[in-house]
Amino acid sequence: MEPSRWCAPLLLMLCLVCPAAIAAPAAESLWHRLGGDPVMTRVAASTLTQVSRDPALNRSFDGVDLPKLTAKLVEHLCSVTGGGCVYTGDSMKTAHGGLDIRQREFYGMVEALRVALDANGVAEGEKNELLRVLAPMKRDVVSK
Amino acid sequence: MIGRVAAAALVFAVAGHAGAATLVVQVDGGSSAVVDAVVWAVPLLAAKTARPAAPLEIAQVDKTFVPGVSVAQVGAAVSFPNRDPIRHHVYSFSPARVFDLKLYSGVPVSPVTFDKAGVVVLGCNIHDRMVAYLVVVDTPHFAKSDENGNARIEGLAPGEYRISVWHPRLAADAGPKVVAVAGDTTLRSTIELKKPN
Repeated sequence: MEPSRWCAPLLLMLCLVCPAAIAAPAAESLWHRLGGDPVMTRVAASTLTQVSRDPALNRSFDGVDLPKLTAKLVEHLCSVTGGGCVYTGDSMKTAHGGLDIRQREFYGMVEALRVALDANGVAEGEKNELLRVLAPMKRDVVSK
Repeated sequence: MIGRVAAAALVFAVAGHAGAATLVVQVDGGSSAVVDAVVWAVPLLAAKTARPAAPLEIAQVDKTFVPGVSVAQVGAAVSFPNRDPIRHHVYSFSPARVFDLKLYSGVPVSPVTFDKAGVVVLGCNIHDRMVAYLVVVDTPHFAKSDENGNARIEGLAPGEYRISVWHPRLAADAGPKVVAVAGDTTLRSTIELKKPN
């Protein structure tokens, strides 16, 4: 076989294999770089504790079971950052339906999340990457 | 034996003509009237009155179950309308009926049928303060005590009944009491309640 005859299939094979090989290690996922389950459970719990105590933000958390909500939030964050979790909760639109969330409440929670990420030693790059992933959810969370 | 069955049948046959009695159970906690106590009467001898279980409703209003205490006959279909603008997720881990229902504002969900007697404790997965009790009883004769502690069970055929009383804060269940109902009857029931949480 001439070199040119098998070179093309070989190159094609490499190209098919390469991206898969890069994407495969879970160690590279944003979830893992954020610190995975232990760090993000603390981040979620601290964010929700903060917003549920802040008189300017706690309205929509009144009577809410925070440990259960924390578990769902962790699951959700893990699922959208490549952590491999399957989110079993409602869509953001359904979960916030009827709560009449205002823009300032949304940004208040984002700020609480920022503070919690900093407090738990999450690096600037990962923090911004996470906020970029979450930003499009605003349209489903905030009432027009 | 045959004589006894015949006698019992006779009593109830007569009762059918004589009209039905009302049993009022006055429930108190020693010093004051007990509201929302569930009282039910099971006829001792007669076959259970065949009366279809009436459907009922346990709504969610302002993150509260309304009513907080309900009583239904075995076989009852209970609907759980969500009258809040937000979602709820009602569940029960009680052996009498394990279920969970996601309830979205303005979206009707099929009723749940309760086909086993027992106390069903209801909670909400989203709002942990929400709690309600549904007592499922194997008799059509039941009532809930009003603000004066009076539970009125109407339409009883004269005869002997096993009377049970239950309350969400009941400290110790003394068990049913057998009472003969000949005509309208008033009965006093003193129960011990745990302190509210």
